[in-house]
Amino acid sequence: MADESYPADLKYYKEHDWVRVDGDEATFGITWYAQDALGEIVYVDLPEEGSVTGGDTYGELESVKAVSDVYAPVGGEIVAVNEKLADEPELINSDPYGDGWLIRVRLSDPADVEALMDADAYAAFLAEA
Amino acid sequence: MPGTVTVTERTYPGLEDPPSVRRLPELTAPGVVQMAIDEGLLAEARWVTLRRYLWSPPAVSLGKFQRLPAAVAAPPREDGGPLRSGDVPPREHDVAPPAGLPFDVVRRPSGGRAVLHGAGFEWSFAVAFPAGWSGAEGARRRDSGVDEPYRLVSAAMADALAVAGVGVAADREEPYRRSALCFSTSLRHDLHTDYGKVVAVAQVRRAGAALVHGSVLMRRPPQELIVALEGLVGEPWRGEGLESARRVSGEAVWVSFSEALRERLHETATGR
Repeated sequence: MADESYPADLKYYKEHDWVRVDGDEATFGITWYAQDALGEIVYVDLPEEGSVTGGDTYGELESVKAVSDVYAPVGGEIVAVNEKLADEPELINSDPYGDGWLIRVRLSDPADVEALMDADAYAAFLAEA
Repeated sequence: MPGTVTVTERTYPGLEDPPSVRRLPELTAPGVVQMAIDEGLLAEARWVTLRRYLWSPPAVSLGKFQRLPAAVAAPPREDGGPLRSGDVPPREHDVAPPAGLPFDVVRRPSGGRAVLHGAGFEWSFAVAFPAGWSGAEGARRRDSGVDEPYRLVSAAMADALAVAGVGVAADREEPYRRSALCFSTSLRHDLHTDYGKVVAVAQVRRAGAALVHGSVLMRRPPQELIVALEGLVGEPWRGEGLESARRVSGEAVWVSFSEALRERLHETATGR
C-alpha cells in the first residue's frame, strides 16, 4: 500500500479521481484516498475504446468488499487503457499515481481541466469530509 | 427462466417506519427477481430502504465480476441501461448455468464471491442507502466510503443476534485470498460465531448510492445442494450456520435488526 499523498502536478475531481495533463491528452486515475476507502482492488472493468463525458462514469472497480463506479473528471476520446490492471489490479493500491493509472484520453476541451481542483484545494476538500 | 414465478409477501405489523427509513415486505421469490428488485432500490431509493427476502427455488448468486471455472457466463445485457420500475429483470442477472443443477445461478450487482441461498437454511437482506443518505443537515458526501454502510449494518446485525442470545465477532478478518465461495473467506464486517462465518455482507456503490447485501446462514444446506455447488466451483463447502451456536428465529432476528439499524441510523444522522 502506498503512503498517503496528493501530488502537486495533478488536478483532482470531487469523486476522488486525478488527472495528469500532457498537451491535449490526459491520464486518469483514482486518488490515494479513494483506493484506501475501497481497500484492495481485485477487478477492474474499463472500456477498451470510445469517449468519456466529464462527470459520467466510465468503468467500475471491485475491491475485496464492494463494486464502485469510476468517474471521468473531464471529457475526451480514449486513446489508451492500462492493460496491466487486468492481471495486476492491485497496482491501483500500490502505485495509484503511477502504474495504477486507468485510462488516457484526448481531451475534448483542454480548458475543462481548469475547473478541477489543485492539490491544496483537494486536501481542503478531504478535510471537510 | 422457465415456469411460473411464485412471489410471497409477508409483513411485520406493529413496526412503524419513520419517514427516513423504509422497510419493504418480506418477499419469497426466485433469485432473478430478487436481484432485479435490489437493482431498482440502488437506482431509485429515496430513503434508506431495507428488506428481507427468501430465495425459492434455491440459487447461487455470483459476485458482479466473478468468473467460475465451469461454463457459466452471463449473456450480454440487452440495452445497457439502468433498471426502471416495471422493467423486466435484465438478463444480466439470469446466468446460464450448466444443465441439471438443483439451483438457479444468478449474478448480484454487489461484489464478492458466490453465496448459496435457499428458504429453509438461509435468508437474505438488502439495505439501500441513497446518495446523501443521512438526510440530515450536512449530509454525508457520496464518498463517505465503503466502510460506513458496512459498519452500520454489521453492528445492527450483531445487536440483533445478541438479543437472540448469539454472540458474534466481526473482527476475524483474514488476508484476502481468492476463493469462489463467500462463506469460505472472512473479511471485515462479516460476522462469526465459534462455528464459523454466519453473516456475509457485500456492497455496490453507484452514483453516490450504496446497496449492502447480506446473507444469514441459519443451518447447513441440504447435501444435494452442497455437492452440486462444490462441483460447480471446485472448492469444498464451509459453513455450518447460526443454529450450530443456538437455535434462533430468523424472523425475530430480522425484527431486531430492523430496529437496531433504525436506531443506529438515527444516531448517525443526529450525531449522537
